[in-house]
Amino acid sequence: MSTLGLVWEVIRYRPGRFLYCFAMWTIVHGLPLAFGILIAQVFDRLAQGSPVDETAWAPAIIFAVLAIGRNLVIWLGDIHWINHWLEQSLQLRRNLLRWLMEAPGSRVVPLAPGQAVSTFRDDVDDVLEYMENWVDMGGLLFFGIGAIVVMASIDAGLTTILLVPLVLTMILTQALSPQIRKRRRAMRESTDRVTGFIGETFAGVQSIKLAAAEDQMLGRLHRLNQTRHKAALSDTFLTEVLRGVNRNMSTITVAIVLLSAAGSVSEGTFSIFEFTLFLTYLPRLTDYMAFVGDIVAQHRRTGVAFERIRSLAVDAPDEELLDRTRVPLVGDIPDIDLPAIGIDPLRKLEVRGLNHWFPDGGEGLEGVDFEVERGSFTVVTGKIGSGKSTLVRALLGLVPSDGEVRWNGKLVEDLASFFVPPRSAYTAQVPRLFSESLADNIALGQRVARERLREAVQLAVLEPDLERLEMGEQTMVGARGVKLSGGQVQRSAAARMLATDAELLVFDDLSSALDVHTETELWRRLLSQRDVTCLVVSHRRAALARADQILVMDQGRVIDRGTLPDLLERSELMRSLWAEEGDAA
Amino acid sequence: MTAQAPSYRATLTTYLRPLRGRVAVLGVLLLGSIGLQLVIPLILADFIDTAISGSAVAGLTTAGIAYLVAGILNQFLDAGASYLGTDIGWSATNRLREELTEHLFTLDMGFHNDTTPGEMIERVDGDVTALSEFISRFLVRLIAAAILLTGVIVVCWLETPAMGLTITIYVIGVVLFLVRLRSIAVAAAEEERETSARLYGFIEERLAGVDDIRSLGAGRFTMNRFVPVMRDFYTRTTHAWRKRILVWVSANTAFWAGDALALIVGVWLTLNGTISVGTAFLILQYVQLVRRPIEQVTQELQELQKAAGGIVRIDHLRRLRTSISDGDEVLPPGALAIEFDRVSFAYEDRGVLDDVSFTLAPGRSLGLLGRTGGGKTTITRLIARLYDPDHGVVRLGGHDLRSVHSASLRESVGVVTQDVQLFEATIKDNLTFFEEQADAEIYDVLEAVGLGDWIRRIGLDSQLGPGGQGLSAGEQQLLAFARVFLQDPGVVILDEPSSRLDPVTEALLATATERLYAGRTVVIIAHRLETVRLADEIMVVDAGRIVEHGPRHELAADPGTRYSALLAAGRGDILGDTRP
Repeated sequence: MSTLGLVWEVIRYRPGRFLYCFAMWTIVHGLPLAFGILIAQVFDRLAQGSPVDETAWAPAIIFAVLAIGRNLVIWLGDIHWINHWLEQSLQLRRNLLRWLMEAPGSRVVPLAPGQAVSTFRDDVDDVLEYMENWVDMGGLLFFGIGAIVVMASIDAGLTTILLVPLVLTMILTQALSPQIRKRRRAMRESTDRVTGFIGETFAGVQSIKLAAAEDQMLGRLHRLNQTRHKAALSDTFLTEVLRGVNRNMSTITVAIVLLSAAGSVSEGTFSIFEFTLFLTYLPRLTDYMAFVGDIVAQHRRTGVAFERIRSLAVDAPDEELLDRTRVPLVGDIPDIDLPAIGIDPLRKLEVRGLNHWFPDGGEGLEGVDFEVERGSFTVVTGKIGSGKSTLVRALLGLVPSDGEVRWNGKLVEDLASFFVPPRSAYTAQVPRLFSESLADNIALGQRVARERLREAVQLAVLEPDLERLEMGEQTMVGARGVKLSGGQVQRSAAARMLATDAELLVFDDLSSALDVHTETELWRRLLSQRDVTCLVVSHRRAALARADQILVMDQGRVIDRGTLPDLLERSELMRSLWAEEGDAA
Repeated sequence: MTAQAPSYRATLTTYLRPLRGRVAVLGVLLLGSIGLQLVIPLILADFIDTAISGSAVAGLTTAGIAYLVAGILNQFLDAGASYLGTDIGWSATNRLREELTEHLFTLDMGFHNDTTPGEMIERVDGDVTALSEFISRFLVRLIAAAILLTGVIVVCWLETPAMGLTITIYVIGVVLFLVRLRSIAVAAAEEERETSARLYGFIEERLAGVDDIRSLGAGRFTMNRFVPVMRDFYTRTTHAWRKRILVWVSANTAFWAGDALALIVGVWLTLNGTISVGTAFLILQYVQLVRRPIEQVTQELQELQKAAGGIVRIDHLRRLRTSISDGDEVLPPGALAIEFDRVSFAYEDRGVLDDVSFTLAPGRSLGLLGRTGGGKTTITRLIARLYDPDHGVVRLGGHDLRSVHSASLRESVGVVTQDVQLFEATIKDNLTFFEEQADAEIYDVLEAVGLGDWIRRIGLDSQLGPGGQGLSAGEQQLLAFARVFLQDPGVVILDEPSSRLDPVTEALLATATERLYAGRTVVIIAHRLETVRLADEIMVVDAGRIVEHGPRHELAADPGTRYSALLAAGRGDILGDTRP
């Protein structure tokens, strides 16, 4: 889709309101055409000399009324424009987030969350800023063409000469403004580096003191500061150059008018009307030309911004990103329920030839086969980096893969949309909580009955923590759950998973934040109280000892599988994993 | 405000004095530019009068050229002033940032534990940047704008008192009006920042948790949760923007009313013969000329208040002094004895160590066992002198730590903590803390801790993400070991990593640990018995007291000891975090 097509699609979101704003701004930008004529008339009549021409009052008073009244139009336009802008910005952001959260297929957000947010913020703003130009466009053209026609009708030759610096302004602005943006970005980046460094420094001030590294850190800060200083100067320099272009061009046009006027005075054809009219029009005309130049530059930038939005959404069709469904800004927010999936209760899960490659060429998965029977407990184990997490993530469709997965013998087409509650649920190795209450985190936006919530909390061995937390389940957990300990986060995530009542439970390594007692207790409660099937990544004896089946992984392959006694007998790797874990015992 | 005046002046003079050459040049540029801005409208006015009268025609071409030269020259002076102002602002405040950071380093951990890194960013960068803006703008914009306004008023009074009076009343009236208006806009801007932080915070958290959400089928619920967040953003931002529009439109109305006023006064004074047509044009030009400086004056007055807050906070920080004083004794190289002599210590609210005494001979290793919160970590913090004891003495190699020079102490004591602090920088910079060091030396050390293969694969110059992103927990831990090896201290404190590592990686760590023991006095906080298998001595700490201390094999052999009870329980890896 071309950038113009994009703008058209965006405008169509609420065309009526757009048209209204367009009309208002056409009036606002167009009125100065009349201002020039009125001011010129005032001076023309004043210059009549004696007897004084009292009619000079009339244009002055009309000017006063229009100039002040114009602000009312600005206000009427703006007050609706902000609603339009905000609503459309939310529309685009919602569409993008919705695609990332709900679309079928496996979905790896291609950027770190912090960077992705800047696409949500800055790139969407870029698109809208560009659209804003189209609101101004009518007025700009009206004034620009009108002023040139009026001036040309008075002095065609002079107007032609004046067009040269005016067009130059447009061209130079258009060439320089992307440069300025580049410097702004460099400035922002160098600022981020300084603040990032200060943040890291004071987060790690203990290690710095312990390593007596204060001087080195100051040296580093000094260098980062200098980079930022240079970036700031470079930014200021270019900004001033651009401003200089505009103002000097304006000066040059006025000077041309002066010199031309000097000629006509000596010929006796000088007209104060013409003179003041030109002098009033020219500065505004230069400004508008610069504005048009900036729009040309923005046109390209908007293309790039939309490209970034597209690449964040990876495979989203444009219709999804530009979906015109209104953002529900008023009215009740309906509760939604899970669509009743006609679920075929799990009897057997079969995985054949599951492959995954990391984009950077790191080791992925190679031809993984296994089966999981209903009610069984399967443990995936192996060294760090052997592909354990990747295996479960590929199975659940969280990372792209190929191979066959069958549920009760039926081939699963889209793993990502298939492996969700009530079929399966998952707890990541580093689970994410959101800055809401603990209860909301566990319910994850669904209506969950209190008893279900209690039960999930109890199964996840979270109830002793709830007793200790002052606000209990209403405790706000802070950004990403920072107010909880690592173990509490992990158990809350387990409770979140258990609240879904799924058949297949996938745990990616609970051991990193749970002690053995708690983990053992969790397995005991879970297996005694529910009819569940578990797929667990772990190297803990607590899990291995109760496994019906263990998959031993090495370098992205399942190198052995079986029961614990069998594996201990025949697998060297299994022995070393088991032995080291419990050696002190 | 009066109380703050001295610190303003002190701060400004301290940081601007070294730059006084540049400041002087800046002043010249500004005065030149102001002069030209006053002169240019006069050229136009004169031009009109001459043209109308039809006399002295020859001068008109000269006037045209004068206009061109003055206009372009003014632009250069103005741009130069802006550039120089930026330069001065950053030169001055970068120094302030560095000095402030240096000062903060000298403060003790009591201070740092009470402040968040976010706060420090706000002080060292936010407040100081506000100050930089203040310097560059206060000098360049505010003062210049005030001079320009004064200049316009003076020229108008010289033309004719009626004109002078008009422009004086106008300028003062609009400035007062705008200053009042802008306070509305400030509150609105604050609100806008908050609400947009919430919107993007929501998005950022959900993007970070996209796997959790999708695997739990919660996408639609998440989007439902997004609705109130969007509404809140919409309502509050609309509210804030409306205020901003009101301010902007009001200001614009005032400015255009100025144009209208100028035209009407011009007509009136021309018609009654007080002024010429050119002068009437001059009034209009001057009214338009004062727009920008009026905007600047009112805006900078606001910035001034913000910078004032910043200066006060910075000043407060600079006055803080550490409670840990520095000594001048130097510790000898090599392994040192550690001695606690009746040491008690309490953090602000709770007592942690109660009359603790023990000694550890040079070259011996000690395993610290006990429950979380029992005081193990505090013992190690006192050895590293992150805190001073409330009572009693901590000695290293016979020296009271309070009389030891801090640099010497840092050289002698190396610490590996559980959470490894890594920077967004190369691996090499992370190991050396941005100091130059021979690569060969670093490779040797990485080899020693078992990261040899790994580093040859990825290279010393590979970049780490923020907070060590891109490294496994095991790799981070080994890098922390490498840091201590590079430092080569006589005393090593080791807070054992918890069970995040798989057994095979742990075996790798154990090898590195053994090498670290050789020729050093070592204190290890152990979470599992496996780790202290190599320790010479075992000490069990509970509720701030030593409940058991002795050679490991003796304690193990005696069935009545806590250590042997733990061994018998066979659950070594839970010892440190035994739940009550």
